[in-house]
Amino acid sequence: MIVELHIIQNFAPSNLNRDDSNAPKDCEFGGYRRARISSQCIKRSVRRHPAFADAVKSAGGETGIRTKRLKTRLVELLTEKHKKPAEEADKAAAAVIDLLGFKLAEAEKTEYLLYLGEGEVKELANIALASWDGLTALEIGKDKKKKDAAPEALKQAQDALKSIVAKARKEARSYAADIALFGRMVADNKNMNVDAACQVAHALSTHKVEMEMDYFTAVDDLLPGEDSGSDMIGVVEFNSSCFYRYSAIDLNKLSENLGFNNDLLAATVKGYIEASVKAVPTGKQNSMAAQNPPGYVRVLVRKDGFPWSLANAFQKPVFAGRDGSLEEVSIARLEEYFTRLKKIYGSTSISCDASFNLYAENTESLEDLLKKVGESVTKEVTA
Amino acid sequence: MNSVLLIPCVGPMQSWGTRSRFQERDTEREPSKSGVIGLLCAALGRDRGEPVDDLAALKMGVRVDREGKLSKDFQTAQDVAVAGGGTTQDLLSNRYYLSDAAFLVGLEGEYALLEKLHFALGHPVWPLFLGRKSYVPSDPFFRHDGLLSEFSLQDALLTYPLLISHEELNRRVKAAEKGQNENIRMIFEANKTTHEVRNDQPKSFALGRREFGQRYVITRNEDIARFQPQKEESDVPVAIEP
Repeated sequence: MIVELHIIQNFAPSNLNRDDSNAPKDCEFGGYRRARISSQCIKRSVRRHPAFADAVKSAGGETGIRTKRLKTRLVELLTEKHKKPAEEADKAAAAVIDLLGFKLAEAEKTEYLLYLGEGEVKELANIALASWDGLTALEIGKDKKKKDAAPEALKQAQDALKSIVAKARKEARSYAADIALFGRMVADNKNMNVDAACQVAHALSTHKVEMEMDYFTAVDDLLPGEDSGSDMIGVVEFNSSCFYRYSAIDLNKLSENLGFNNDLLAATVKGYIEASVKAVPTGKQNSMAAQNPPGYVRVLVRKDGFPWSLANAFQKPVFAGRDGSLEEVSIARLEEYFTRLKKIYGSTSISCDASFNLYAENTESLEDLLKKVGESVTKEVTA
Repeated sequence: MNSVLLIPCVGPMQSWGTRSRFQERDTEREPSKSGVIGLLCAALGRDRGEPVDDLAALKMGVRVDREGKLSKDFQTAQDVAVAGGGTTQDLLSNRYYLSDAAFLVGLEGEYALLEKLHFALGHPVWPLFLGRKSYVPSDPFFRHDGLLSEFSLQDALLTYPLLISHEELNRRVKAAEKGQNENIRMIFEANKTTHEVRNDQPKSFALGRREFGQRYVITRNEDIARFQPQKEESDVPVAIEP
């Protein structure tokens, strides 16, 4: 089961995502140079948009937190919730982190940011409680020679910790919603890896794009009156593009990653769509302010088969002209291409097709679209 | 006689790495066998830890219908742990990819297995992509007429229509007549040692135990004029059965 999201969005002059030479990213497609926003840039702005977190929290889910302060959080749980003495809790928490394979750096923080859900932290606390005596007796010192040299008494606890993490990975496991969607890779502990349920394509412009330069000067405010000239000159590259954005969610994988919680699944999908529509990357926005909402959003829910990226509608680049603006022409091209694809590949696998179009007479609202999609997703997973 | 499964690999961006290390992610100039087998595993829903010997035993050939332009995607990641330990760093990586390329991949083997793979491509268990998850194809991997029984890999790749439009083919044939090199490059797996090695024969995809062997290939260049363009004058691939 797949949820496809197609967006046509035109941006005012901007440089939302740039490469190492500070030029807007680009790509060739259909023989012409196109503007591009990378997939990772889009994913980050979606992940950080409040619409996503709000939708998920309202369904009782959680979004992941990136933290180095795992030990602090564990100690908090053990002392407040489970009423363990602070000193013991401190030792136990340090032992759990050590047995998992992470190191504590200065100020009791893990060496790098771990991406965790609150539920996962609770689970670690429970494991600590189960092996309390052994853990509190373990001295975590800097002179540990071998990498995983746990004392005999705790080898069992360590195996239990690691096997619980491994087993949990195979069983129904509820990860935080953004980890469930976008995946996670932890080098130290491969069992914590989560495969992403969502696929986000790089956004490509529907038309060919030229590089544009903004020649700027910066003048010294305290320049003496008779002098002229600027103290800094340079060039900033930018362009104005109409993008086709595509992403697809594998509902079965997302459901698995969310522990088969159907309410949370629908909320995550709706939150993701809303955030995708509203989020804009922040590159150079202080000087460009290209905050342009999309003119066209289409969501398909597919029971089976394979998903369709409609990028090929724009193999021949579109041109603005008498037929309308870039956005209008792109929308028309996309809808016509989609209709032809349906004729050839059939549309029986499509169980929901919701869209809104800024340029159409009677169009639905974003609210309507999200409601329709949420209902369809719930219907498909409970069927 | 053996059968052949044809898989188009067409998209604005694709990447087939075989030699990447750390922050430099490379791509070969055509699909790698490890990448294609990974694609089939995703279609089948076969986990990384499971064996891939049956798929690795298939013989692979690639026809380059349009050479991709080697491009680079510059990526930054903040707050990443480094091997040396200590404070985190912001890491830069260069991810090379092929822009605007079109390939026809052929796999030769027994009909029964290829039939399963053909069906899986049309009903993939996990999302499919061209080397990296965000490189979504513009042409589907599934073709109704992509499964050929009693066919040799060579004949299949020589006779199946090109994945380009009439317009593009005409333009390239004219350019070839004027002397430009518009030959269609084809890469076949060789039965013996040749001077072209590929380090992409998959032995295992298991996490932490990934292993790839070597295979040898032969490159051929064919005159573009001997090929047919897509059956219909459109940018939508045509199915033979509705």
